[in-house]
Parts: sequence; structure tokens; C-alpha cells
Amino acid sequence: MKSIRYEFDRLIDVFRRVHSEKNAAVVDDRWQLEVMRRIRNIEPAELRANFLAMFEEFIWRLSPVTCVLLIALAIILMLTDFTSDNEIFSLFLNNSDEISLGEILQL
Amino acid sequence: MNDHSRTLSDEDIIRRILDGDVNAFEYLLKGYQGHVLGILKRHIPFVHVEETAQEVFIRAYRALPTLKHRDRFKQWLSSIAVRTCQDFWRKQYRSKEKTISDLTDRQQDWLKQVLDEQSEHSFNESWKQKEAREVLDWALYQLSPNDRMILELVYLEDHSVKEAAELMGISIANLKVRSFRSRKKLNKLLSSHSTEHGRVS
Repeated sequence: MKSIRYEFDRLIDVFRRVHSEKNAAVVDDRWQLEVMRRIRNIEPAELRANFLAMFEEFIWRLSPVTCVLLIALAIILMLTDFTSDNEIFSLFLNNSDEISLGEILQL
Repeated sequence: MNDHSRTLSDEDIIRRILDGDVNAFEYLLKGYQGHVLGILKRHIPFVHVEETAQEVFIRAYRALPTLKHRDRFKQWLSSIAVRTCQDFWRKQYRSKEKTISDLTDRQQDWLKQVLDEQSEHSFNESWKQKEAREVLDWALYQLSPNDRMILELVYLEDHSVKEAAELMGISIANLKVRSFRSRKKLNKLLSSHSTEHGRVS
């Protein structure tokens, strides 16, 4: 008794032969002219849009670098002394009559 | 133009196109139209080959700036051709009312005969019968565009798994899983239509 796999493989073998026997397709000069006509009608902007797509692709590759920079920036900000800025702000809020914004910003 | 195309490499031609020389695309068109038509004729009906081939080259032109390895233009173009075929079938499935007609008695007889065939000679002749083409077309039409393409690439055209995965733009592992499933689907489909071979492996 033949196995099911053997039967299926025989069938695949038949289909493989059928598949390879498909008619050859040939195109004439008119076909080429038509393709080139359509290509010439494509706006350069459409091609540039693809440059944008490529640019986006590269931007994503820079994401690890961006993350590292963000972390570094966060650390620098953490280490920076904010106290003076806070003090100036609270001073401005509490004594708004005496100190103008221009004075704070040293204008 | 032909003399030029012989001396220019694909990379040179692509560089010229991207520099704004649209006419240089004709070198690529002439150089690869046979290759593209060869792919399309195996995957879509003959009457749609010309139109779809145009679509392939236009897609390639539009996507040219994204081509990373210009020395691998042929492989890149092949994958565009394969994906355009998949899109063709997706459109066909959407636009047409999918009539799931059954195999005719004549086609079922052919199927049964192939599976029962004892003589190697008769077996070798069976693929020449028009029922062979009809049953294959019917079976492929029952499958999804993805399953259909995987079966054609891996089992009917003997592409390696790596090649097929590249052509379809999916991972090798993904292709292996999908090819196993699509083969199983085809097996189930055909075995259920062969009266004496209604077993599913």
C-alpha cells in the first residue's frame, strides 16, 4: 500500500511539471515605450518622497544614540543646581511689586 | 543604447537615474524585462502578465532610492515582482466573487487516476492532460495569496527556503512554518476531493 506522503509527492511532481510548462510571455517595443512613458510621467516629487522614506529609515537607526544623549542630558540636569532659579522664581512671586521680570532676566 | 548598457553596470545606471536621468531606466528595463516576465508568467494568468510587468518596473523605479545594495538589483527586482504577483491575487480575490466551485467529475477522475497510477509511463503522461492544469489552478485558487505564492516558490519551482524568504520579504523561520501549513492545506484540499484518497496526513 502506497503511503499518503508518497501519493502527495507524486501529485506535487505532476504539478511541478505543469507549472514549468506555462507559456512564455514576450513583449514588444510598444510595451517598453508605454513603461517609459509612464516612468517619465512620474513627478520627481514622488521620487523625492521616497528619499524621505529612506531618511526616516535612517532616523530610526539613530534612536539608540538619541536615547543615550537624553540620558546624559538628564544626568547633567540632575547634577545642575536648580536652587538659584527656584529662589528667583519664588522671590518674583512673593515680591512682584519690587522686582520686575526685566530685573530678573537682567534686561 | 545597447552598447552603452553593455558597458554600464547596474550601479552606474542606478546612479544616473537617481541623478535625474530618467531615460537611463530604459537600460534596466531592457536588461531585466525577460527576467521579470519569466517570474510573472509562472504566478499569474498569461493575459495579465504584460500589465503586471509594467507595474513591477514602475514600482521598482519609485522605490529605487531605497535600494541599499545596488549590486543586488536583480534579486531586489525579483522580490518586487513576487510581491506584485501577491498583490495581483489579493486584488483578484477582493474584486471577484470567489466562486468555490467544486472539481468536475472529469477533474476528480484525473486526480484519482494520478494517485492510483501504477505504471510509471502513464504517470509521466498524466501531467500533459489539460485536467492537470485545471486541477492545479483550482487548488491554488482555494488558497490565500500568501499560501499560493509559498507553494509555488518552494514546491513547484524548487527555490531554497532562503531564496523564497528573500523573495517574499519574510524570515526563514516564518517561511518554514508557512510552507508547512500551506502544504498541509493543499494536501487536505486534494485528498478530500479524491474519493478513495480522502485521508489527510
